[in-house]
Amino acid sequence: MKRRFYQKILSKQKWLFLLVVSIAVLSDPVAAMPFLKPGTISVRLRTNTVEMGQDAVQRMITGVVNSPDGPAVGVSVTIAGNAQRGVVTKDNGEYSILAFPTDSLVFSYVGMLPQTILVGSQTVINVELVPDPSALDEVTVVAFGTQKKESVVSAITTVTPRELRVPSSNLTVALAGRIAGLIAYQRSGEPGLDNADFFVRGVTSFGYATSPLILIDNLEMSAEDLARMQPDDIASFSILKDASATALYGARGANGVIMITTKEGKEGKAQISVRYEKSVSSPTQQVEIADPVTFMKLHNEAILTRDPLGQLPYSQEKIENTAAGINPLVYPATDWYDMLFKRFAVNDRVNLNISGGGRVARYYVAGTFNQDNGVLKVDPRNNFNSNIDLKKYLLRSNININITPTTEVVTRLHATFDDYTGPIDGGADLFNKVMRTNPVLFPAYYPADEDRELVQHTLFGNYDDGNYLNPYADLMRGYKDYSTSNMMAQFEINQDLRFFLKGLRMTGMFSTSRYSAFDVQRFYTPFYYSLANYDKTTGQHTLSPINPEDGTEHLDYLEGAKQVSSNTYLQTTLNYDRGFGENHNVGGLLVFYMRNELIGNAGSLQNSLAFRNMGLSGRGTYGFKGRYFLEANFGYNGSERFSAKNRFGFFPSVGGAWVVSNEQFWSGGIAKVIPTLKLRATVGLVGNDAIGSANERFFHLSQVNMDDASKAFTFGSEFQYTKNGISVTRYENEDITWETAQKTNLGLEMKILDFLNLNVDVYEEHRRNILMTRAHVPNTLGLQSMPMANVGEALGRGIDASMDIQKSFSNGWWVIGRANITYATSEYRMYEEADFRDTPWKSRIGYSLGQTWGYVAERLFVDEYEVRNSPQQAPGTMAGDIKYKDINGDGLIDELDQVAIGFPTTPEIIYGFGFSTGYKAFDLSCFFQGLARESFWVNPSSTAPFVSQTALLKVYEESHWSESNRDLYALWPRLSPTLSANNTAVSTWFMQNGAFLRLKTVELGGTIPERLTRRAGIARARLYASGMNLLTFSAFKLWDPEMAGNGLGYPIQKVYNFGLQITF
Amino acid sequence: MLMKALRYIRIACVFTMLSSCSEYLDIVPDNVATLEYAFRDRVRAEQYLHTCYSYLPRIGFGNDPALVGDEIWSVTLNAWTYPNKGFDIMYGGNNVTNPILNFWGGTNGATNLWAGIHDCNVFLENVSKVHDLRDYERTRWTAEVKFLKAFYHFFLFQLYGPIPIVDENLPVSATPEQVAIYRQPVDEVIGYIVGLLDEAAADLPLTIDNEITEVGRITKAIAMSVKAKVLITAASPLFNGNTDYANMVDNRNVQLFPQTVDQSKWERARDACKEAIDLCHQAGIGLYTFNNVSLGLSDSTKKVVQVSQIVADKWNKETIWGWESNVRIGTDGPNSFLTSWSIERFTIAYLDPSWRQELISSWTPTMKMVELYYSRNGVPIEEDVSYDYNNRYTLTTVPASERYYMQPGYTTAKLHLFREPRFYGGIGVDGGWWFGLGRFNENAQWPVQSRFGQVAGMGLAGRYSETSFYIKKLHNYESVFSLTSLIEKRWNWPIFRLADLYLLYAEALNETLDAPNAEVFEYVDKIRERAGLKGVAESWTNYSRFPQKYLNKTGMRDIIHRERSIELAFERHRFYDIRRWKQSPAQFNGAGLAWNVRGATPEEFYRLIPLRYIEYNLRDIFWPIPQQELFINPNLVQNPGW
Repeated sequence: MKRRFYQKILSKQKWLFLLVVSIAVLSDPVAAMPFLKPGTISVRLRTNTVEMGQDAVQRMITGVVNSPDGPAVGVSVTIAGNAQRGVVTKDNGEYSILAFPTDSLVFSYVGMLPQTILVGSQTVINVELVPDPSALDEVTVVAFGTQKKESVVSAITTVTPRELRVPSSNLTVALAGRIAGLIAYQRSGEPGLDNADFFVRGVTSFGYATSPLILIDNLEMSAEDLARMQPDDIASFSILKDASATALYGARGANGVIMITTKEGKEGKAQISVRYEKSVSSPTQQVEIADPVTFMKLHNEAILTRDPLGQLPYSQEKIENTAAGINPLVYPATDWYDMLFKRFAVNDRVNLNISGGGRVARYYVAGTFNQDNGVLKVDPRNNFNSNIDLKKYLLRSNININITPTTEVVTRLHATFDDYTGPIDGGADLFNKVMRTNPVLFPAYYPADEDRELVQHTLFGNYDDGNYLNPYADLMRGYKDYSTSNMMAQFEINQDLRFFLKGLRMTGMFSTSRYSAFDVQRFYTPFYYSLANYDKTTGQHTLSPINPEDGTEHLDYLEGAKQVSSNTYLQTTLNYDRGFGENHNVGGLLVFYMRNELIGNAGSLQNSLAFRNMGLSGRGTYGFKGRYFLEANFGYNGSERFSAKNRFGFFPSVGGAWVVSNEQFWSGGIAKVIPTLKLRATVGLVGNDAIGSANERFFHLSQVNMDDASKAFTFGSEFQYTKNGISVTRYENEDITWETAQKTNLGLEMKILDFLNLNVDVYEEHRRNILMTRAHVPNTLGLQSMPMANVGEALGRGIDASMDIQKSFSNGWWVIGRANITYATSEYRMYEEADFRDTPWKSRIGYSLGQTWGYVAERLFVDEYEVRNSPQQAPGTMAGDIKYKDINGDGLIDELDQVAIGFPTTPEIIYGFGFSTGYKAFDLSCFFQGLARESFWVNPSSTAPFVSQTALLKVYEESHWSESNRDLYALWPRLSPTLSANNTAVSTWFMQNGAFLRLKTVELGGTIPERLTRRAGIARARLYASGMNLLTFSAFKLWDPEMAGNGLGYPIQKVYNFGLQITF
Repeated sequence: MLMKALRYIRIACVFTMLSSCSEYLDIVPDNVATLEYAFRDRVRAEQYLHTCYSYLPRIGFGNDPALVGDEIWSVTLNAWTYPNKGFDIMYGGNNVTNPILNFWGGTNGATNLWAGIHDCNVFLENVSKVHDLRDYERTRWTAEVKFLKAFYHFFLFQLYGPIPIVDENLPVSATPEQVAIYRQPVDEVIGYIVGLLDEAAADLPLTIDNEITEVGRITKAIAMSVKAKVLITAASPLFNGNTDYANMVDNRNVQLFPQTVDQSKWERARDACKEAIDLCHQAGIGLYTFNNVSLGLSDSTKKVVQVSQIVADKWNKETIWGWESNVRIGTDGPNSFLTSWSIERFTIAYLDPSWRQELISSWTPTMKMVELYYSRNGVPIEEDVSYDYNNRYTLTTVPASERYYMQPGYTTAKLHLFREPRFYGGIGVDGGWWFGLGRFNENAQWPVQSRFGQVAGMGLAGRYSETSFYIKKLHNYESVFSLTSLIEKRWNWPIFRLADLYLLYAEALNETLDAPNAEVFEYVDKIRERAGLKGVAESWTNYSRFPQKYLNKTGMRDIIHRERSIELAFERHRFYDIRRWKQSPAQFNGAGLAWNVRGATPEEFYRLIPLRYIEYNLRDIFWPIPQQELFINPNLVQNPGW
């Protein structure tokens, strides 16, 4: 609908433009040639200057107007103060106008900041239009349609797709800090697994579904689909936050809605736009580990410090010889990180889109190719490449056809394909394994010795029975291919029913999608060797095979799971929108939809049944004089998950808005300072049927496994009479019903002094009927599965605000600044738990849903005397172990002493700010993003040095308690060769503040002067260099703070990128 | 025209869809399995019977609480994670938050016994609905499930002391008040279990007719033997007038442990033992002797091999109750390591350097068990007047006369020589032999050599015994190694065998008398005779430093206790015996000792070194009820110390 609004304005100018062109063609066919052959135009235009004296003489000013998307067609170019003398730009963005040197030219276009430029002595004035963030959403996309921005009563944030452009093939990476109301963070940088987590206004449910509903062209899609969207293809990107905005999606809207529409073709000649980017990515930060000699020394210390009689794993001789670098095969010191990982990866991204059309049909066709590579090293020893290589192909085609003047047919085809090759284990696993591999037990591989000159396989190193990790072998032993495809076809009919009733429109939409994925692994089983018969005097040694039977030289093969699913969706809408006179505006909407999803590999009978929703939703709006707006919505939605009596839920909402600045009294000074002021309020109910877990449905039926192998028993003299047992995986409960969210939202929109826009929303959300496991079921009841009920309640509260400033100056310099912040809190309101009357700090009520409970660590124990005379902790606690606070004072540190510690694990504050500025052909933008009020824990179990051969982190080497250095506040307590139950308990000791601020993106771009590009038939070429995650400010130094507890996984990437965008 | 048509079609669409709303969402077809289906026919009901059996704790295997105690040492220095949960309790202690081998909640290696009891109750409630079940089957199955219900209660009772009794299931929707049940006093729990066992025994068959499909199912002999065990447990000092637990009183003021000793409990136990023994005899159960003539073995070797064959000759005539599952592989969890193959992997020593992959050899006997076995004269080595006890750690050379027990000419400690046959059958020591595993000539057995660098010793790589000793008792001599894999001759774990019952009877009988009578000696001597030893009277009179010891009640009690520990060594009985005799902190506390496995020469090797100090406190006797359970049910009393 937004498109229509533009076209209304456009069409007038189009006619004018056609008129001008017709006249030109008739009067001078030669001069009109350039319209057919754009390559010659600048030559011609420059000779066309009318020279008649100096100041008082009008001259022909020419130039090209460009927008970020390419040449801007239909831009009005007028002389300041004399609007009658205007022209509009042509197909290729050119214009020519007669003007005095004292005149100023005003360039204006819908959705762009107007620019005023003094003519002076110039004869060629090229202009880069800059999007006007406030103007862009003069029309706001709402559920099942669009509304004029001023009439919107609900909380909807719209973001310019351009802002989502980051040097990454994953759109979700760009979300954090860009959109008020969205909490987002990224935990891993592995290609294909680097989706950010995102939540609209945080997490307000402790059910399983907390992620928002994602709608792309009205069709429900997954986070994966969102991640693959190309900003180039997006026409609008909005998030719907409050009840009024989401009530129509009653069944699934409780967690908020992300709504995207894709671009459609515009009438005009074909516009081709190509963008190519090449980027270099490397980990933002590498986890540092101690050198092998220190590792051995401290491992020995770890054993002795716990047990003076303990057996030392490394002899003094081994340590000394390793340090001296003698015979690295016998005394290996392997830098596994370096063996496996490169410093950087090079990635490519190409995007092509073509749009255009005539009066009958319009098209938008886009294709994308992205290639992301991993940072794994490829060794020439294998002819196969096991580095991560993820190729993504996207194709999108949107065709609009006008069948009659009132009937439009739209078909949308969209397909995404992934082809992946990578290591069997996956990247994150290899990063994890490197951290859990002993650096001194064996080298990654042995060179062939005399006995094995003819051996064809790699002689991988290992120890004992070959069950130690050798991540190098894991990387080299094979590779995994996977392919996924997702195809979507959509058919839509828009019928204007004005002949029936003015303002009535009807839309029917049918869409279906198919998803499939499979993977195949090809691998050999590595041959492992260990060193045997080392003779210290001669230095001779032989290799001893560890697994001669198991190892294979030939490749083996393993098929992974195949996933197939289908989705169909049907929707009809009836839309009414009409103004009566000057004062009254009435609108209405009725939507009926049905959704059906089938999973081909569901794994159980109940899950193989279709997932279905259906519903009837409606909206009524009334606007009076552009000042008062009222809106009511309802959703009457059904879900197949519930028993017959709970199958449908009713979700109403109401809202209103008051545009104060349109009132009569709003005039004079105040209207100058605050030209726009609007207040909004909504309240309503939204539902969520995704309760329990993705696979748990039909709570009204019990679920029984009639063939449970874990309940089998065997009789018989030959141990052969075995029968599988029967188990209950769920007991029936007819009363399980919808989870509901009661949302209240208060909003304020204002514009200050014509350049500052401010948008603030305050909300409260009360979740009820959250499905949870009943708390009072003791083991003695003997149930095999815990009964559940809709008894949980949670409350979410917060503020989201955004602000932007834009200003352009007469010399062509422009600047835009923007900032937004989201503050989302949550708390348990009702949570069934044990009776904590005596230990109220154990109760969750009143705490955030992301709260962690653990011990309060005071410091490390000074000595054994203190250990003995302190409250009793885990057995085996010694000096240098963590001392916990005895909260209830019973002389015993146990579960009862765990209190709420730290901030929630989901950040409560996400913010971002940045600016864009440009002067003539150059532009620079910079964006900072951060989060705050988040805690995470460095996992003491997975970083515990020496346990299961875990590597020693450099920071632990530098700061740990030892008998010689009794640092009571050392980072790591007394060393231990085994996991210390005392020290690995969740406590404040390993708690970290997750807050950080980072320079998320920087982009410097320049448009190549058109006189250079014209000859190549290029209307506009922009070169840019950008970077992502270049700087991070945080108190936490071990790894990238955004990865939080996942720090030993595949690191988040820092990207340097070069791009070229060409428009023909 | 087109427009009009479109309009009407669409309007029609909307209304037809609305009318079919409820059908569209009602997608669950009929006949989706519910619990009702489990009792619709005999086949499904039999599966449910197997379900009831499936909660049987993994007796004898890696997750058996009774494998710990002071018999077996298992520390794995390397990164192996096998389900030796019991050892974690022994070395690290238990906890209330996430208890190890939590049979109360079915986590951390344990089966969920309360769920087992629940399922037994479901079976008992519903078995009448199975239309095609014949009456005699219904009666028998019902009796079996009643037995299991009683046994699960008893298993919990042994670990946790007085427990709640769940005779009937509460509904799923029970209120918090309804589910807050109480622990019942010891005597009531025992009374309930015994009552249920009696009920079951009445309807159980004496013997199994169809051995191919039914061996392992509960018989009358099993029910009566378990009843004897239950009553012995109730009569033993841990539960009979134990004033250590005087403070265990619940919020109704009910005393959970009886505070006065009731001697008549021993009489009930005695009678139950006798009744069980008679029933076993009636069912054809008798003491097993190993006599495979085709091997042409000397009597000495036969007595040695017999020790492991009593356990590992499958379903032999001494077995009262045995079990083994079909599941051979598995990761950590209650279902893993369930076959005899798994146990053999844990216990067999490396005897050939080419065996590499499969042996773990991590369950090894403690020095205490090595010293516990009698001398060749059938009396404790510390009592034997002819045994050089004080110099037992000094070196000696194996004389040729000992050739069936040890390698002649090998230098070893005196401790390893002149011991009873059960010692050589139960434990593999440095310098000893290992019969079977492919070598069936008694003159060419596998030599066990466990000094540093030797095949069964600590080397550069591979696994070895930390104590240098190996358990020989838990393997069948017919198992073999082929290349690097162990091909097992399968056997069942004997949960209950006749020798156990004989010794229980002797114990109970002795307790009821002022001084032991001939019948007491008779039942102990039956075991000794089978093991190749003289009777108690003869042995003590002739060889003991305390020749009168067997004549008084206390002395005979000691002798019976020791006989039990030797005869049933490594068979999971000592752990419960020590507890019920109220000796556990005294026995389980202390340093584990071993030969110095880092010694390559005899002089270096035969030095005693401490492995680790085991701390076993009073609180470790009764296991912790999970903390969460107490939060939910305030009527439960936690066991002392937790």
